[in-house]
Amino acid sequence: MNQPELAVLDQVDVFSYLAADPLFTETQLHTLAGLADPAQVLHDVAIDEAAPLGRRYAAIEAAVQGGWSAWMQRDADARVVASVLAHGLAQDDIHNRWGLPGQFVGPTGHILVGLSAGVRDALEPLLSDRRPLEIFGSQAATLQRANKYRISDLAGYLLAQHEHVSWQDSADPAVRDDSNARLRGQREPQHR
Amino acid sequence: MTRLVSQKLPPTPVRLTLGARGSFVGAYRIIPRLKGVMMSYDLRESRGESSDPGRVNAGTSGTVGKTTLTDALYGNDAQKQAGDAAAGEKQAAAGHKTNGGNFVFSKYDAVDSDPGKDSRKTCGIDITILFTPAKAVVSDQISFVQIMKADKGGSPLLFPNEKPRATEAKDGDAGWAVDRLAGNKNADYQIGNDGKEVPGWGQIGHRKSDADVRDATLEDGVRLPRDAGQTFKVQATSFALDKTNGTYLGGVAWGYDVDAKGKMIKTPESIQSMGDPAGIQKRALERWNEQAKHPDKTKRNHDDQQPIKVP
Repeated sequence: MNQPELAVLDQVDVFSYLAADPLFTETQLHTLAGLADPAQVLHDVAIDEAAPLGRRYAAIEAAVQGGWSAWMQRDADARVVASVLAHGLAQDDIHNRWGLPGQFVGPTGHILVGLSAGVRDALEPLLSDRRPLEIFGSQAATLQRANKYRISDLAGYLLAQHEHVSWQDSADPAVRDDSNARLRGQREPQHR
Repeated sequence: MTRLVSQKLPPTPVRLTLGARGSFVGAYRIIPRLKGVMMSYDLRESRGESSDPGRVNAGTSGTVGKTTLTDALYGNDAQKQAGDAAAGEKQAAAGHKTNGGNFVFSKYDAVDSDPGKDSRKTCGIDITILFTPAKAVVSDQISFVQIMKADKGGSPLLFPNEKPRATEAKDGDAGWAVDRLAGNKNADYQIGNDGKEVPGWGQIGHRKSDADVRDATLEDGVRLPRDAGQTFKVQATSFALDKTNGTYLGGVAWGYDVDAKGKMIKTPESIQSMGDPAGIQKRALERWNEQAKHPDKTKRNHDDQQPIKVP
């Protein structure tokens, strides 16, 4: 990371982002826009396996927020982005940006769901992650405490949205687990 | 028969039997205090989720014939029970009477993950509001419409789905919005996209006759992050709406404040309106309807977002 402009990627608190405002301020985006080729530079950061997850995650968010994300349409890059985002989901302190199972897909959830490749491979490992979601707000937080959604539920819901298949929301976690089990079984044969 | 318990009882759940049918609306926790009696209402029973395994599914409808929660609370025995309570507490316990009925805050608890400390923490409110329609009301469906403003460090805090419908400075006060989770098409707080009440958000009320009354309820558990050194304020207004006749039946106000040193104060509960929403709350309803017609469906709360009654 030899361009000083990229320092803004490390300045944002990417894992504690409430999604009430854009992750990057206008000033920060302006700084990134000063790069010779923002799309290429952010792409290079996002696919750099040696870079910290937070920085790669921030590069993806910056690319989308700044309109420099056309490269994500390439399947090879989409697979990498899906993997980085799924790892980010698993490490996030706040999950509003991803969505709430059975209710809505959040802004970052939309990035992941809209990718052309790699989404199932990225989310499948999370289908057994039983850690609770951290959801803020009014109705969202109320529903989260009532239903006790977990990362596995969010992963299943997002995967179902990506594959345009149904996912059974329920206050009963066992029903949601069944939905996730069915999702696993729907893996296309060539991907087994 | 209404069975009441002494306020000398320990803080363990006790039950009130409501109505001749013997069905339960909920379980009360009556806690002895220096002055008066603090009551909180546990709606798990009304959802058939009793903490008492022997009473699972004891009450599922919340409809108790002629007897409603407030009937039970303010019957003769209850009045005797509350006789020594402080005036403010009596007022809260008696509820807030509007032109269209009576609001009771059966639960109104402040939540502070790091009480009194100036730290990055989570604050919020756990609240349950019950609305009993007045005898003049005849309605098949009574919902709640909640309009809220969260202010973080002096600026409105709005989630992406709320921004397109929030009031703006030119409206007189920026940041007020109908409180509705993304993906829901109705503005009614406790009604899901299938038209049915959503467990956890409250129940739909009605008053079909003197003998068939059901309280409308609203359940909320606000949780919002507050940063160190930051002020935070939540103002909420909750209106009862007679959907059958398109009439607002009054509204109440609640919320909380966190100062820059991290001290949280719950806003005293109060009547916000005796009938229709007005002022910035009315404008927030108009803004919801504007969002419902937004040509870019991604800016709506739901593709098929439904308009709400504006008085």
